Parts: sequence; structure tokens; C-alpha cells
Amino acid sequence: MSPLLVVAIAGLGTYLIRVSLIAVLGKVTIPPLGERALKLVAPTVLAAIAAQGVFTVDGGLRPFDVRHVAALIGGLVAWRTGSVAWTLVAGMGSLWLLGWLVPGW
Amino acid sequence: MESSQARSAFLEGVRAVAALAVGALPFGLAFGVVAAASTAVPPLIGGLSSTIVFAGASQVALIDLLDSGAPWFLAIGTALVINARMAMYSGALATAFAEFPTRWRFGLPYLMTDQAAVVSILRFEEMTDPDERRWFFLGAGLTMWTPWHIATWVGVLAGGQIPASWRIDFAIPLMFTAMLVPSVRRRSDLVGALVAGIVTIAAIGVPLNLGLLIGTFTGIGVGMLVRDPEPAT
Repeated sequence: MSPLLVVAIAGLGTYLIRVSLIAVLGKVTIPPLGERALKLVAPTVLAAIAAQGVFTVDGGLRPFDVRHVAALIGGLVAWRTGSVAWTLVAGMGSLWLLGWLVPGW
Repeated sequence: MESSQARSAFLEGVRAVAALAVGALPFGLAFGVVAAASTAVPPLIGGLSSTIVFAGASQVALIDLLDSGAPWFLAIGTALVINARMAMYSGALATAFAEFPTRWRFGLPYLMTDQAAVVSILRFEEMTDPDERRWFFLGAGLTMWTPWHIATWVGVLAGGQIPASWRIDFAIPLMFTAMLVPSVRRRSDLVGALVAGIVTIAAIGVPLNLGLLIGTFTGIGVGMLVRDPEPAT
């Protein structure tokens, strides 16, 4: 399948998700169990992607390196400040600094 | 509605997400670099996904999965699962949007992002005028849309020139970490997130790159079993 078609289907599907309950307001309500599941989508999917980005490389487990440390620092800054910008500054900053200080990182 | 009122609601929306929009710049840049380096998706189409899909996390996953040889239906399926959280925003905004003219009601959702949706849901508790609400959402939505596009294309075009030693790709997991932390608000969120992360890593090597989906669904399932001390908000 052509990449453009794949992107187009993903785009259409994403739009339909965005418009879903806005379009059907009054005709469909989400059952409580479904609502509980939807509320868990954000934390679980974000954790899964973040974990994959930090702990894996090329489909295998990433050996302990500077990224683990930099991600931990970024995570702590995210938790204390709640700021995306500071998280990026702290995470990228520590990645570069540690990479420069520690041989092999 | 007075045009000055529309303008002031629009600008309020702009200001409400301005700081978050700054965060979209490095993320968009990193995504553009990923798109430029893709072996399965031409850079032009990868860049266009910022317009067609306009949901960063799913765009990264889409290209990542196609590059690693996953079948197209799985790449799309994963992207849509990642974006399923927006059904929740759709539900939270539905009552407000029902009062908009049809074109706005069906056009504005295209601009829905985590940032624009969350900011609007909170603001709409006080702001009750439908005209002000739609201009506010438009301002917030465009304020996320614009830097995302600029950063994507800078990344796509500069891709080859950015030295690998900058490790700009690390901005992507950092961005997800920055979004993850505030999304964990209840005990069930924390348990679900931990399970999702651990299972995803444990599922390394599962065929079809299903690890991400297995991790997410396991996290949701386990999270649903956890009782939260206070009523969920």
C-alpha cells in the first residue's frame, strides 16, 4: 500500500475520532466502563511510547547508557515543574553534558 | 457577535496555549528529522502527515512501524489507538460544540490536540458564550497547528544537516515523558502507566511490533481493576 494512502487513512481515522462524540451528541453516550477505559488511554499509551523510546533500540533492549539517566532527570523535572519546555531543556541538556563528560556516553 | 469580542476570545485562546506551543517546536523538529530519515515513507509524505494526521505521537509511531517492516494495517491501527484518547476530549467538548454553526462544529475538531482540548475544557467552565467559545478554540488550535508545521518542515529539510551527535531524536521520548507526567492523576493511571511501560519493554521481539499495543491494552485492563480512592474527575 502506498505510504500516502496509509497516511491518508490514519488522518481520516484520526479526524473521525476527534469528531466522534461531537457528531453524535445526544444519540450515543459512553457507558461508564468505556469512559474508564478511555481515561486510561492517555497515561498508558504515553508510558508505553516513552518506555519504548528510552529502554529499547533497534527492536532490542538498550544497554544502560546516558539516555536512561537523561530521561530520569527529564522525568523528575517534568514532575516538579509540570513544564514541557523545562523538561526538554533538562533532558537534552543532561544528555549533551553527560555525553561530553563521560567517555563512551 | 462584535468582532472585537471575537478577536479578544481568539487572542485569549492563543495566549492559553502559547507556552505549550513552544514545546511543540523541538518535538516537531525531531519528528521532521525522523520523517527525513525514514526508509519506508518519502520525506514529503512524512512531512505532509503533520497536516493530514496532525497528531505527533501517532505520526512518529506510524513512520516508526512502517520503517521496521510492520504491515500497513498494524501501523494505522497503532496510530488510531494512540489517538483514541481524543474521543475522551470529543465527549468533554460535545455539549459546547453542539451550539456552534455546523461548519465550525465539524471543522474545529480537526484542530483538536491534547493541549487545545484540555485548555478549552477548563476555560469553558467560565466562558459560556458559544461565539466566544468557538473563537477561543480556534485561537488555541491554530496556535498549536502553526509551530507544529514550521518545526516539521524545518526538520524535514534540515534532516540530513543536523549532526547525529546532537541526538535530536531523544526529544521525542522526552516530549512523551513531559506529557505523561501530568496525565497521571489517579492511582489507576499510575498503575496503568507502569504496567503499560513494563509490558511494552517485556514484549520486545513480539512479531509485527505489537508490543506497543499489547502494553497499552494490558495497562488499560489492569488500570480498570484498580479502585481509585476518590470519584474519578
